[in-house]
Amino acid sequence: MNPRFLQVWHKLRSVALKRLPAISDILPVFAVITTMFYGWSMVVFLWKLPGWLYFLNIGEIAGIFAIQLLTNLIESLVGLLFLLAFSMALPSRALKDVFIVRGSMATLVLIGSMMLFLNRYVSVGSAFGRNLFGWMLGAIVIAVVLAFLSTRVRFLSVSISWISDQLIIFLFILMPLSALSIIYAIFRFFILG
Amino acid sequence: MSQFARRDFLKLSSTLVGGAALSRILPAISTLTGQKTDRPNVLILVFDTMSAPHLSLYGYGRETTPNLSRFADRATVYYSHYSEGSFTTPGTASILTGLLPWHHRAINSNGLIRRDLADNNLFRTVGDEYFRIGFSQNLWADIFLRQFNTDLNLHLPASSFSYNNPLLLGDKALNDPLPYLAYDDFLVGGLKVDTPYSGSVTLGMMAAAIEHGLKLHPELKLEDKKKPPFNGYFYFQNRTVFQGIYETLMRVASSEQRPYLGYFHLWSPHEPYAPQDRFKALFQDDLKSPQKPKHHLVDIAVSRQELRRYMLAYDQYIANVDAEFGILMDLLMASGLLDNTYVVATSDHGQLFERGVHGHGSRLMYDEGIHIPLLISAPGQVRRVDVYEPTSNVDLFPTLSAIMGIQSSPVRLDGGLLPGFGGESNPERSIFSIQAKENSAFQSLRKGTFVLIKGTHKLILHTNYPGYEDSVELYDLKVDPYEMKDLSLVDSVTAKQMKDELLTARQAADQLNTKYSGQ
Repeated sequence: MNPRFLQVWHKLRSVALKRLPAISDILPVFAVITTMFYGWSMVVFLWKLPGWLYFLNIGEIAGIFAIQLLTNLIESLVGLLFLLAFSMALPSRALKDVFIVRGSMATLVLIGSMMLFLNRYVSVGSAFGRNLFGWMLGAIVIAVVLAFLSTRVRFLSVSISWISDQLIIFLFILMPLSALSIIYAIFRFFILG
Repeated sequence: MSQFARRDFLKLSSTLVGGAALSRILPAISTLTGQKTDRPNVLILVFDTMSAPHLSLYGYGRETTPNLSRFADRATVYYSHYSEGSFTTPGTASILTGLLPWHHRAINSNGLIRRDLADNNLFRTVGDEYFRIGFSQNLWADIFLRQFNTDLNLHLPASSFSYNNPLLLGDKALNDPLPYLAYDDFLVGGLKVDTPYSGSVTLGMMAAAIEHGLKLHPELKLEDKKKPPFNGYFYFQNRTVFQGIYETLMRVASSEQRPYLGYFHLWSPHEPYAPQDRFKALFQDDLKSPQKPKHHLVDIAVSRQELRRYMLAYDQYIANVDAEFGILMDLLMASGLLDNTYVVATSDHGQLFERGVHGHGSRLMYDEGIHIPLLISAPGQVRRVDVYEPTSNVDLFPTLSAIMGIQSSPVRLDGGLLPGFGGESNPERSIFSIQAKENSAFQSLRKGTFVLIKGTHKLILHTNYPGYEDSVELYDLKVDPYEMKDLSLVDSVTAKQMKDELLTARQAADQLNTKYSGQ
């Protein structure tokens, strides 16, 4: 391989790694993301379950659960990647140095706004879809403002740090479950299927 | 009760591959028949939402049912046959119990048959002398099969013979609808009656964005020609389902010494209409139908243009289902399975395309919504018999019991033997049909639409709807089959007589129910 290319690659890599937050900072934010995505899905899953029991067997319900966990894992990772990309793109003091607080706050506002949108979408009907662009734009603005404020207002920064720290416990449950669901899906759909 | 798992079906399928192959090996299979009985098999095919006025068999202007017509050449055909309700729950419960909805009380969406009457079902009455098979793709009908679970020898899961998922897994998970279910019914879901919330936040948002985008730019919507029929829970192909029925019957006939009673409740031609490509080309005509004004009981009316569009798709889909029915009958006949089998083809209710309504289960009970087909082919029957007297699906229970040589149930049934099968011809017989889903199943029926058909007259009674507290419509179906001219004022005597009869019958039913529910 071209040594010049390798040199550039290594330099880019070291800059990128330097701009990435520490793992200990990433985990609490990832915990917030996963809790919100997995939590929403679990609520809908439990809401659907009594109906499924009428016509699905336990294996089929487990299959749906596995697909749900896989989907949640993917959307959580994508969400985290977005934040990390911003962390690399923005100056360190904007996000990387305060990743837990601002990352968690942005996550709470953005995913929360999506949940609220879906709630309104169901209540009002598909006509509410016309508000999608404005809604998300508003959510992004609010997320930026609150993320900025969260490091300035001590109460907010302490609260968010505490919440995100507490939510890490869910990673110990959700990640092994997701790993099991990957194994299940491989067997169910590719080996046994 | 045993469940015939999809896995079993797959194993079976692996030995019996495809209709063409089957037809080549049929002579060999027919020798597998292990039945040793003088009693006939009974095969009941219920086509959900099949409206008799849309069948060319009954004179419809579009050639929708050439195969049913062919089948009719060796069957008894009922021309004035009615369902007891305008949607699946009451209609199906009446087929299976021989009782009117105000007696069996499965009147609400997703309702159950009154517990003390649930034993009075066709399968229990027939008993162990028959091998009893139940299958319904419609989950509201499958609820009854679950209610009768212990009375069935084989209860096929509703998702049997369902379609695999070509998007996610290709051929790797043949016959596996699970990913479809997981994504379409759950994770994407969204704004469906039974899944308002998407199971995944991001997929739900994406679905909302796509839907909004398609509203803005409808030209971007891709015509998904291969989209399979969908029943709200799973996707399937009619060909696979009919093939599955055939193979199930073959399996039972070859392994059971008893005759069978098979109840197969098929989703099609229920909406969403999904005719295959070759049927989408049909009926590019200018079929004239009477312009019926929007009914005041309809809140949000569907435009006439939309109704015509729906009707065209419905007619095409009926033609599609009819073709599959024809293939099934040919296979059964070639295999010799029809030699000792009564075949019953009917529906649980019809479908409305008029007065602002598309669908069924609304407050309107015009002919399209409750007038359904009934054909019964007896073993060895070679000529067609036409019956014009009014009949109803409650008549199936006593008629089939008699055919199977079974003493009918100890409960007094609302139906009687069908003309042509020992029943007396009575053109003035009273036929009831009701839509009372806005009432509690345990209380007296006050709010609803109640229909009495007697002779050529049809009375529609609306009670306790806003603006329709006590309103009647009267039609003479012989001279006015499209129900355009309300005779309730012109012929007030007939209207009053029929209304009195209807209310007396409803009151008697309510009293029986009150006694049961301890009010």
